[in-house]
Amino acid sequence: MSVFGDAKFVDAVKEQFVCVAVNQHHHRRRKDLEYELFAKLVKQTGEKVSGYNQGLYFFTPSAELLSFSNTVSGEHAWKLLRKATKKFKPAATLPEQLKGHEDAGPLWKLPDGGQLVLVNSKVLGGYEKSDSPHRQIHQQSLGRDHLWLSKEEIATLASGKFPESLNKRLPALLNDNTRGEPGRWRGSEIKQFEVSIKDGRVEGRVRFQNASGDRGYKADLLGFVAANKGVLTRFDLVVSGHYWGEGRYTRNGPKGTFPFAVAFRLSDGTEPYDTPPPGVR
Amino acid sequence: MGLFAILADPPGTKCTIMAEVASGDERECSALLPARQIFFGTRRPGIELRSVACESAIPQRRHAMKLTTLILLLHGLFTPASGLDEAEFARLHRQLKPTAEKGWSSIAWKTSLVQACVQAVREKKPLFMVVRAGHPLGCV
Repeated sequence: MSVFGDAKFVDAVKEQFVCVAVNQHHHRRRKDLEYELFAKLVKQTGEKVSGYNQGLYFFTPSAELLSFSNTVSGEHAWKLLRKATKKFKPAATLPEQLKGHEDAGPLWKLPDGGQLVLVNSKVLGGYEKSDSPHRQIHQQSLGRDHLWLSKEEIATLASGKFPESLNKRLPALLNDNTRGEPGRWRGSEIKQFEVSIKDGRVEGRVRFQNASGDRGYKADLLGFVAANKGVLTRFDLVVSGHYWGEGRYTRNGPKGTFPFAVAFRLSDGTEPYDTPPPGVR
Repeated sequence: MGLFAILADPPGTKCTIMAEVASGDERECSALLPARQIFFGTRRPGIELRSVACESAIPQRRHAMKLTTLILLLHGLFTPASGLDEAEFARLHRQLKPTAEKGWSSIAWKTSLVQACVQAVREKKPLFMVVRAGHPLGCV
């Protein structure tokens, strides 16, 4: 069973730990206390901060590592959790490093007047059967990403036009991210991305293909947008078509072309993963 | 679904439409068109028109045909047209909506290590951090 497929493990970390999720590429580039804490933890694993830092970390508020492994195994994660719980001794006072940061908040806030869109993707078929639990998880997975709409983009959409800025930003989200981080579409690989909007109905065509022709996406877009008093009340899009190929970190995709779709919807802000993470487009 | 139209002139023009279907296969469709007649067709979902070629079935008129055959590719070729219909849109939009999971998404994740550490001191708890290449809460 995967780490987060184990409901008991999830309950245990919710009750006994404060949970934090970090993108290694972002944190290693910061120049503040966030970086210092991250770097301190990473060094205790024996890795360089510029290296491979992915994994599950259990640690104290002063960034003393209690246990660590880069595992997706639920069984292994339980061992780490038990080891951490056994070793942990609560501090009586705030560690020196954290003094002056008592009011620290989330790293990212949506810009004023902006709205968050949840983006989900799925491979709809074409996989060969696999006995590997790891592959089965990937084959059934739902890709997740986020899109920020700026105040200006919302105003343009509300006026019945499709913002030029979204023509540039949306293609990056139309990628098979269901098995890992996909390579981005370069400008020359975007053969066609045309979107029109009329009376709130959005239609479009997508034609992406890399230079070697071994990765691409041909799809159609249909959606509906509505606004009230300058605020979007609907931003529902579906892009559906045929994808082929895989990236360096998204191996074991279906062979040949396979059906692949991406859906967009406004976030209602009620789920933890609605928090806009760093790097949202 | 996009409309396309072909105006055939002179008589006996053979029109061949090459189309690519969603699976990547090519399909060919040929028809002998009477003169001066406009044919309207609809481009079905998942089909992309690749080329339209016309030749006269009457050899001596082939040259004339090249000059006078007009191919009008209207709406369907010049404006974006979605091959998705509303029923398919609704089905996929539902299918790709995350379910109310009890898994990782039910955890009150912090994105700031500093904020998480301060909270952990207050609550006298250790911390659990997931690090990924790309943000764990949403691929980037």
